[in-house]
Amino acid sequence: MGDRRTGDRSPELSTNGATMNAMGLVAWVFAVLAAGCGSALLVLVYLDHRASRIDDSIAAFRRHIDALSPEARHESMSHGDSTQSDGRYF
Amino acid sequence: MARDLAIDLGTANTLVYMKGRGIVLNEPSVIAVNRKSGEVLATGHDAWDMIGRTPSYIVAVRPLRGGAITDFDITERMIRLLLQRVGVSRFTRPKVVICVPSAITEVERRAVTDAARRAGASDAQLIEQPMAAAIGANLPIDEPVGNMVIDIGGGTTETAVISLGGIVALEAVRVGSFDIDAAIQNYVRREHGVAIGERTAEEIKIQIGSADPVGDERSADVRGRDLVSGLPKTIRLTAEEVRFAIDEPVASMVLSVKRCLSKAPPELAQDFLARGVYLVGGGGMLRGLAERIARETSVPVRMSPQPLEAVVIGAGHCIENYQALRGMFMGSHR
Repeated sequence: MGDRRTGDRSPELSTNGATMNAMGLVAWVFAVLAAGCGSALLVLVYLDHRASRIDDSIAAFRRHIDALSPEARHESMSHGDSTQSDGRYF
Repeated sequence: MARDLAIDLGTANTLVYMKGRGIVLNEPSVIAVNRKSGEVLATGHDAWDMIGRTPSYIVAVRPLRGGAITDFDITERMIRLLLQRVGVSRFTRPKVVICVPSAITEVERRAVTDAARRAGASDAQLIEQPMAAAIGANLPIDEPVGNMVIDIGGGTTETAVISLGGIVALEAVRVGSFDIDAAIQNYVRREHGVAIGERTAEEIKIQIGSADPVGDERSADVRGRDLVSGLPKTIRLTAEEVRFAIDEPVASMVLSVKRCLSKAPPELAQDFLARGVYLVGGGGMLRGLAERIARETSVPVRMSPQPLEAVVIGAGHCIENYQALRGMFMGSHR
């Protein structure tokens, strides 16, 4: 009985099956390519972000050092100079 | 909108710097409280005048010892009153930068920031006193050279080597000018059998105290209570006696400076010989102390032009440049 059922399959059906298989393969290939492209894009974004973070840290350090320069401190010092100490000694 | 504030919450004195205005408050870190009701009766100078002269139901205390909060509730109330006095209300909540000793523990740090937030600050950040002192003393800490600052406060002595805006080496001991006062009290009690108060001991230190022999050696009449008879008594103390009495705390301070010098990298250590090291803090004003440190370390010692205000001016500079100098705050990740 099993052999007869196999033998019942029509040629049209087997062509459709082959087409389906081929389409599945193509979809799979596209999926792999898309994943590859996506990963490459993520890597590029990460590298770009890291580069900008390095730039940011350099700029932040520069700002930090500049804020400690005598010129930057001049105003705060002058505020301190204008204040009279009460002369108490501890 | 309240102006942001920098607070030097010292064991001896509390100073407040207001952004754009400078130092707006400078008074002793003392608070007088009614023991029965818990009400605050006085703060600052008024409370300082009460020390040792109060009836039993009033207690005039310093809520900080060795730069650390010993009484959290009283400190919180003191900070709240300070902020109120400089215009902070529940609708105006400023950012606050508080100077603390570098050696405080995590628990003590949290106690200070919590006290400031509860007292009305929107954000409370801490900065190490020697770093603030170096900024306030106008040392060239933005350059790659060795800068050494010795901050002697009421309860702590902190020595730091600073270069390129960061601390390279640090040494802190919980010995300060109050320990010098205590040493004088103990000496007079032990050698003369007379009890004196901490204000009298402080006066002796100011009048005739010295860490090293100075040209003008004087003596002073000291009034106290005879421990045997219980009656008032006057004794005469010489400068040499006082120098002997305070030698132990002074030696601890000098040793702490030596330890910090030994921790400094050689490239920076050579800068100290050329540029000298800087003394800040009220304790640094003890006669002969700069000379003694210089003698024992072979490094020139200079006094900061504003030894009492240097720390709060430095913290004030941080509040003026809050974003650029955020990395200097304790617990920040630079």
